[in-house]
Amino acid sequence: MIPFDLTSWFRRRMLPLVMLAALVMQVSAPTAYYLSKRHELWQEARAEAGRTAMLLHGEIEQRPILWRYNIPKLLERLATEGMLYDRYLVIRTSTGQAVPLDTAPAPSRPLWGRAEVRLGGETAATVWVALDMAPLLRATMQLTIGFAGLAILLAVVLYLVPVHTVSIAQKRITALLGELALTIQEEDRRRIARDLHDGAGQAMTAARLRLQALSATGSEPEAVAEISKLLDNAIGEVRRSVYTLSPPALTELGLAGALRHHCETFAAATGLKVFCEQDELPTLRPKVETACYRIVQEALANSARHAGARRAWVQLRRQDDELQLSIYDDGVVSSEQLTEGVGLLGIRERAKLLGGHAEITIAPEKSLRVEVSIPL
Amino acid sequence: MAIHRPQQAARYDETVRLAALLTLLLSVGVGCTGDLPPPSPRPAIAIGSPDPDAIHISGTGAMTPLMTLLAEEWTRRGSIPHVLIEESIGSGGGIRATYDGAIDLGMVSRPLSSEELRLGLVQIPVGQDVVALVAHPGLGTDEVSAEELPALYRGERTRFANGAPAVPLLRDRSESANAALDRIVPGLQAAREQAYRQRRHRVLYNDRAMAEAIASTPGSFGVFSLSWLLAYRLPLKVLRLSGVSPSPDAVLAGRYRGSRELFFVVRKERLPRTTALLDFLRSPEVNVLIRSHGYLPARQESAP
Repeated sequence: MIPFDLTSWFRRRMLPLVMLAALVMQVSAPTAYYLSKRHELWQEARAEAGRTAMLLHGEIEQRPILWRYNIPKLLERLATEGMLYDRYLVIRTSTGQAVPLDTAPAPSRPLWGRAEVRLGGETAATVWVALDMAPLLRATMQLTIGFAGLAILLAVVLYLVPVHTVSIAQKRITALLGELALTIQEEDRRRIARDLHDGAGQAMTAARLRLQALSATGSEPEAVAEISKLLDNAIGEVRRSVYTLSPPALTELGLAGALRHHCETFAAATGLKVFCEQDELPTLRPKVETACYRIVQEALANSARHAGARRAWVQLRRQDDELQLSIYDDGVVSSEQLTEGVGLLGIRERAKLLGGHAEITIAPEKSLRVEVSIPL
Repeated sequence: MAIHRPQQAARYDETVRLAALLTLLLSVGVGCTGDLPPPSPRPAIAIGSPDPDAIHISGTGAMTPLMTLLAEEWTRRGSIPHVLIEESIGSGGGIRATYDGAIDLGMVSRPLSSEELRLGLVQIPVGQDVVALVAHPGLGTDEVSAEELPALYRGERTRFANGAPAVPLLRDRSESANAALDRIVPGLQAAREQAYRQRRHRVLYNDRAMAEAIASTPGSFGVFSLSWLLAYRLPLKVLRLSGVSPSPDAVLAGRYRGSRELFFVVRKERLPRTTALLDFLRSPEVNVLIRSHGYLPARQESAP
């Protein structure tokens, strides 16, 4: 297992970044649009003010004092001739007095453009033209709403795709670590089995040979017979342990043969009638073979030990890209036995470490049913 | 592992927050372009006369010829103060300039609006101006009917009843001569408004421009001051309107109703310095002078 939740950690790091990216996307395009259009509008207002100032120039030259009282008529003429648009205009004399005008109503959100009427090097009047920014603000708002939708979409994609990828990676790493753990476990088992066989087993066999030689001398026959019996028991125990830790049948016969052999020997040893059915299987990874073998071992042992079963069935099938292993019997188990058993937990753990899963249930007739799926 | 170190994680979060803050500041701080709005205006009213040695007069162009002639008579007699006739600024401009104190007497050729009446200016009648339809001297007709005139302005007809080509010219909307003819030609105002909207005909903005446009455009005709025409002896043709020849006598006789009142507006404070001139304008000899230049003196009753 990975020592920390990589997906959660990645989520926490991604979330602010994704939100920032979404914010930048939502804000940048409408802002650029607004700035550009506002600048255009300002230029238009200034151009309009400049044009009006140019037209005022002649009027002021003609009527140096009373020009401001003739402006409404001048503007009407200019508007009729299409030289001025219907804009909100403000004109001030050089002394800051207002020029009475009858122009368009003042816009609610004005953007001002300004121009001066220069006469003899001095400012004779100043013209302001106000353009309405409300349509621009509306358009920018609409653009912002549109980009908000896009930003949300982008944020969802930017967030979900990497998080999903990391989640898959985490699962894969977990599976690989599980396989590694199994491998190490099996290696340890094999090493312990080898050490038992080569160490304690050989020593006890040597001791028994010496004991046989001692019995030939005829001294202490009863003690020798007792020690001999104890040694035989010990050698038998060591052999069984070696067999359990590292079943030689799996190496010698493959999974199918080892399972068949185990079912036969288990039936012979326990009296449980075991039916073993297997599909033609491709070459499996050693870890998968070992896991299947161990699961069958554990499940049959449970049937024999706790369920009081008389018959058990082992089925190994391939379905699509999965290996499906089913073990069930005709015994009776309680739900407490199902939850508490260490062996059953081991079955689940083995399946999980190989990326599969195990379902251990009690059938309606109270018999135990183990169903394991392992990806090939 | 390194990624679990709280200091590094905190730095990372700080960087992201700072970037977000900068983005927000940028978006809030943008859009400060544009010129400053105009400052509040200063009051324009000047109670005292800007020029104590002269009486400044301006306003409607319809009164300019008359006042120029009368000012010449006033000067010829050696009267003081001097009278200065400024460039025309229209009736509205004259009223506003009088109120602001920029001029002493404002020349007006239309009734004051309710807003203008509230300014409290004194109105002094001067006379009446006869308004007529005036045409290019080479126009192929001497008469136009009240029925065909709106159709000519609307563009539904391009020729007079006798087949002569017609080129209507318009004065600006605020011209008081328009209202004088509207009283005697039904539907003319609506036809003229339609023509303004559709920019169907050329629009002139003062009497001088109108006179020049009519004189230089064959087939053209338009509303014009008959008194102006007579005062300056312009070589233009005066059209009969539905058989009636416009003239001061026709107005007096009640045969023709195309006339407009001419009067001065003055601030009460300026009345004392203009009294002598106003008395002169009301004198019998000046009334004769007014009549001789094609205007009707104020003292005479106009026809209904």
